[in-house]
Amino acid sequence: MTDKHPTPYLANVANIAMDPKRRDEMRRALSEYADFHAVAEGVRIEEAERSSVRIQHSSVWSGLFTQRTLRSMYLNATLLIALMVSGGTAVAAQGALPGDTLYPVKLHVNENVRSAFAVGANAQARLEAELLKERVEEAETLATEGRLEGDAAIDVTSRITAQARATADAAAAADAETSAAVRTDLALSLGATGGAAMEATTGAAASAVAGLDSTIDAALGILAASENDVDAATELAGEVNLEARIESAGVRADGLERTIAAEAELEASARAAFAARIVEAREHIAEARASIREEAQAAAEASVSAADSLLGEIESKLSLMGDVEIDTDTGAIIDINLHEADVEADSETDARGALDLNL
Amino acid sequence: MDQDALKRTFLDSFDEYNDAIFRFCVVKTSNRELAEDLTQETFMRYWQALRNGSEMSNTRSFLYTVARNLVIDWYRKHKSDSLDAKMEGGFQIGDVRTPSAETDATYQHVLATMRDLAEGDAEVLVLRFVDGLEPREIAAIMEESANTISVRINRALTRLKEKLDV
Repeated sequence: MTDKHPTPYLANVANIAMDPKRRDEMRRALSEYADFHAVAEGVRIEEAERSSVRIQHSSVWSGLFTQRTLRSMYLNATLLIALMVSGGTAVAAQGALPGDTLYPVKLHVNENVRSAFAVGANAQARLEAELLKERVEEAETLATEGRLEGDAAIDVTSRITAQARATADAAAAADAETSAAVRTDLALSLGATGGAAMEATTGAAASAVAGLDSTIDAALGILAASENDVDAATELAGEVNLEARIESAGVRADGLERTIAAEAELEASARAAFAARIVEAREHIAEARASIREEAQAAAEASVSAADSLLGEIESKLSLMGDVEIDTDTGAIIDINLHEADVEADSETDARGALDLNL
Repeated sequence: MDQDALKRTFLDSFDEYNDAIFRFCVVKTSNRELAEDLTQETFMRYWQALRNGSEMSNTRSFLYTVARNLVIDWYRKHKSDSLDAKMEGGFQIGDVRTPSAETDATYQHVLATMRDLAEGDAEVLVLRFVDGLEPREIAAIMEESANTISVRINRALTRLKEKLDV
C-alpha cells in the first residue's frame, strides 16, 4: 500500500462506517441466515487456487430477509410462496421450538410477517413484547422436556437477552402510555414465570430452569433499566393496554371478515375455515371483555392472546395467498388480490389451506 | 469445511470487510439506507457462494465484485429515480457515524465532489486510497486491465486535487 490518503478528503471518506447497532443487527441476521441455509450434510467445501469467481444468481431468499421489503404496504407474497412447499409450513412452524427443523421459519418468516403488520412504534413495541414472552415460553417448554441444556441453553439465553433489548428499545420509541403498559405487562407475565416449570422438573432440568430464571431476571432488569419509573406503571396501565389490544383484535377481525367476504375467488373450503377461525377469535375477544369487566386481568390477557394468535394465523395464510393491503392506522388487513396461480390451482391450494388451518 | 467452520469463516469475513463494503456502497449510491441493504445483500450472496462450494481465492475481491454488480443492477432498475436524485442534488447520508458536525460537513463535501467526478473515478479512488487495493485487484473487480486502472487512478487523483484546489 502506497500513498495512503493523498488528500485529507479521502482520509475522511475512510471514516465512513455503519452505525455499530445496525452492524450488530446485520451480523445477527446474517448469522441466522447462514443457519437457515446450512451446508447440506456430506458436502465438502474447500478453498481453491483458481482466481476466477462465479457470482450466484439472485436468490428468491434475499428479498425475504430485507426488512424494508417486508414492511412495504402491499406484501409481495411471491417470495413467500417460493419459499414454502406448502402454505401449511408457516402455520405448522408456529409451534416450533429452538432446535426443531421449522424453528427458523417461525423466527424469520412468521415473525417477519407479523412485524410487517405491526405498523407504527406502539404496535412494534407490543409485538416485541409478545416475541419476548414467546422466547421465554419456548425456553420453559424446553426445560420441562429436559431439552434446556448445553448449546441449546446458551442459544436460548442469548435470544432472550437480545429480545429483551429489542423490546426495551421498541418501548422507548413508543408513546409513554404504551411503553408503561408493555413494561407492566411483561413484569407481570415474566415475573410469574418459572413456577410451573420448576414444579415439573428435577435434577439437571431444575438447574436449567433456575438458569432460565436468572436469564429472565436479567431481561426484566434490562427493561427496568431503560425506564425510570416502572412502579408508576400501575394496573390502570395494564388495563389500558389490554383494552387497546382487545379493541385492536376486534378491528383486525372486522377487516379480515370484510376482506374475505369481498374476495369472490376464494375457494369455499378456505372461506369456511377462515370464517370458523374468526368466530373463535371473536369468542375469545368477548371473553376478554368480560374478564376485564370482572377485573380478571390474567384471564383477559389469556383470551386476547388466544384471539391474537388465531388472527395472526389467518393473516399469515392470506399473505401467502396474495398481495394484501393493510390499513396504516390499525394494521388490519382490508383487501387482498389473490395470486393467479392460487386462483387457478383452487382445489389443491385451498384444500391444503383448509387442512393447514386445522393444524 | 463443515457448517460451523464455514459459518465462522463467513462471520470473520463480515467482521473484516463490512465497513469497506458499506463505504463502497455509500460512495456509489450516496444513500445510507440503500448502502446498508446492498451490504447485507452482498454478504447473503457471499454465504450462498460459500455454501454452494464456489471457489474464491480472494474474498475481498469477491465481495467488492458482488457489491459492484448489485449497485449496477439497482441503477438499472431505478434509472429515472437515480437521475432525479442526482438532479435534486439530494444526499441521504443521514446518521453516518462522524466525530463532529465539522467532519460531517466535510464528508458531504467529499462525497459531492466525488459524485461530480467522471464515472469510475470515485470508485477507483476509494478502492485504491481508502481500502488499499492494488491496481491489479481493482482491475479484476472492474473487469479492466491493470494498466487501464493505473492510468485511471492517476487521472482521477489529478482531477480530484484540481477540484479541491489541493
